Amino acid sequence: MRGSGAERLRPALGDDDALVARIAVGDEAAFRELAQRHGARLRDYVRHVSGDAAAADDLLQEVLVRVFRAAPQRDVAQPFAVWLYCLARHVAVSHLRQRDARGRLLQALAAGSHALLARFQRREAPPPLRMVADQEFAAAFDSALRTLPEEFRSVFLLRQREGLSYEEIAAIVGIPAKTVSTRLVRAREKLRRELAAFADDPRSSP
Amino acid sequence: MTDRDRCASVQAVTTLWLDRRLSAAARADVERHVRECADCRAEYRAQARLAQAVAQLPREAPAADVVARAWRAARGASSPALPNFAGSFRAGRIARGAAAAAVLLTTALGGYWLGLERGARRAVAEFVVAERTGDGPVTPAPHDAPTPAAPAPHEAPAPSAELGTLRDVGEAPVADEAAPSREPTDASLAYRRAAHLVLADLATIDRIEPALRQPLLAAQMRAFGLDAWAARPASGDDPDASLLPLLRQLDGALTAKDDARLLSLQSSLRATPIATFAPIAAPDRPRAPLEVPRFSHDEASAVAATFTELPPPDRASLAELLEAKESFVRGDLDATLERVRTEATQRTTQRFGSSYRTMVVLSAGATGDRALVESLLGGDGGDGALEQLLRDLPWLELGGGSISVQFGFGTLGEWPRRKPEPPQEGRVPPAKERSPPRR
Repeated sequence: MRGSGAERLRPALGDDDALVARIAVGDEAAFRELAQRHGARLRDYVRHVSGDAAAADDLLQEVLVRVFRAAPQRDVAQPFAVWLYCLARHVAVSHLRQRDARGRLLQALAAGSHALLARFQRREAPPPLRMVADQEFAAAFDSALRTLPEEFRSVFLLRQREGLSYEEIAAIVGIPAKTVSTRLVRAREKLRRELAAFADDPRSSP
Repeated sequence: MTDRDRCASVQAVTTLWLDRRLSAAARADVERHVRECADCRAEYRAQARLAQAVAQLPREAPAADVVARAWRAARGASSPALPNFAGSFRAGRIARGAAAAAVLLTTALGGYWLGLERGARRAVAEFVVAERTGDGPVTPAPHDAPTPAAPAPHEAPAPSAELGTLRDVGEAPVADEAAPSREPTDASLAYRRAAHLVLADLATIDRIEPALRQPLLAAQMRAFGLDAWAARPASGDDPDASLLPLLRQLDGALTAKDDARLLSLQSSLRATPIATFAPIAAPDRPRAPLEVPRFSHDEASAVAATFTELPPPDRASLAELLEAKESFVRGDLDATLERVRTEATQRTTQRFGSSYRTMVVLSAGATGDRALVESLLGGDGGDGALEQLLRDLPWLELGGGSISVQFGFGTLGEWPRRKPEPPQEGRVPPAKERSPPRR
């Protein structure tokens, strides 16, 4: 069974492999096209996994470089999204590991100030919630995410932000789909507690 | 079932419900309960609200120049095929001996590298690979050159002493001319590829949870008969300080992708008598000579290519993959290829998709330490410990199973078994008695 989110991504991915094939032979236009298609998503993912908003562009750059380098080995038997997010996760996790605890703390303090710089790109955006200001939620979400270990964070983001299926996430993170499910449960519970102010119904429905 | 149990079970599947992964019957069941239970309804709504809010958070646009910068960086990095070990194997472009060098280095030396700072570690790898990837045959040149200035605390034993710390490089006559950078040559690319091959291995070791890394390395050291190494403290090694400046030069050249300088350094290093690797712990007892099968480049390529071409693995057949590796290590290439091609092995590769996963388990398996392998696999055949071990490993995009065959060596014995024997102190289990390596 596929998640609806995965279906959302899929139509855009049809000819991604054609782009990758062109990138493999050094086609700059294809490289730019692929970056144009997926740059914002990739940036969003590496930014949230790394928890480092300030480094998001640099991380995206690194992901794109890796896309270029890995293009010749692209195995089309593997779903494109899996391939792409594997590369991105590697970059984000490496970055995460390279920063010492103090650096993370500073970044954490600096984060949360990101603004609504881009338009929301979701195609089937559900009606806006009655929600407090996005910016406030975004900052709280950043903080809450940081309470999760990376492996939970990635699973959550890949599902909730990127709309990938359990199976795709399992392939990216290298765990069984069943574990994806348990990690999602725990991540959501944790975030639910951290973000209770936003998640709970203020009307305190029964 | 009490009401409370019912609520707990419903809330446990909220995630599956949100993700539309419940069967129709289960969904109807949950929905019926939620209609009746205000607490569960509130919980579900909170989760749904949260999911929606998270999904609706806007994405920031990348900075305008990111793509251009990435393109420049990618193009500047010599070649898109750089990390393609499998491809480079197939294309026959990797320096001869690189595969054997990696086999030599891998887990055996991993412990030493861990004591070095990152850049230095990388350069050490470069250095050793360079040493092993000359124009000669795969067989590493014996480093029995005199080691004049080395404060070697013990006599370096026989030719194949590969383990321990590098000595005697010191302030070697490194050609440090500021040669202008030029287009990468085949030789420099081969050199870099070989280095990356080793680095991929080192990086894997480095990323294993410390608690598991030490027993893994220790088991591998025991597999070489280096009990003293295995028993050494986990930290406190003092890498050869005199080596570091040289390594930094290498590192700098590598980072700057200065191929001219890199090659110049490489040739200087080749001309420098490398001391033997001396065990870090400098044990008094003589070390067992390290026996390593020698493969020709073509042989190694054939195996690597076969691994690489496997469709992506099944726990039940992991043992088969381990046997394939053992054959490879023993030098029985025909048996290796045969095992690699079995359906069971292919399922294994499928199951463990990530090359990391395979590598780590293979690496442990090759030590013959069953207890360790079982601990990695969770002992009960479950995914627990392995998953724990691997959860933080970033994806290795460097080209599939070809790296797997580079990992560790030794024999496996009759793994898997249901119950691990208590780990034996200081020596590997009898299953480790290896058949004599091919020379």
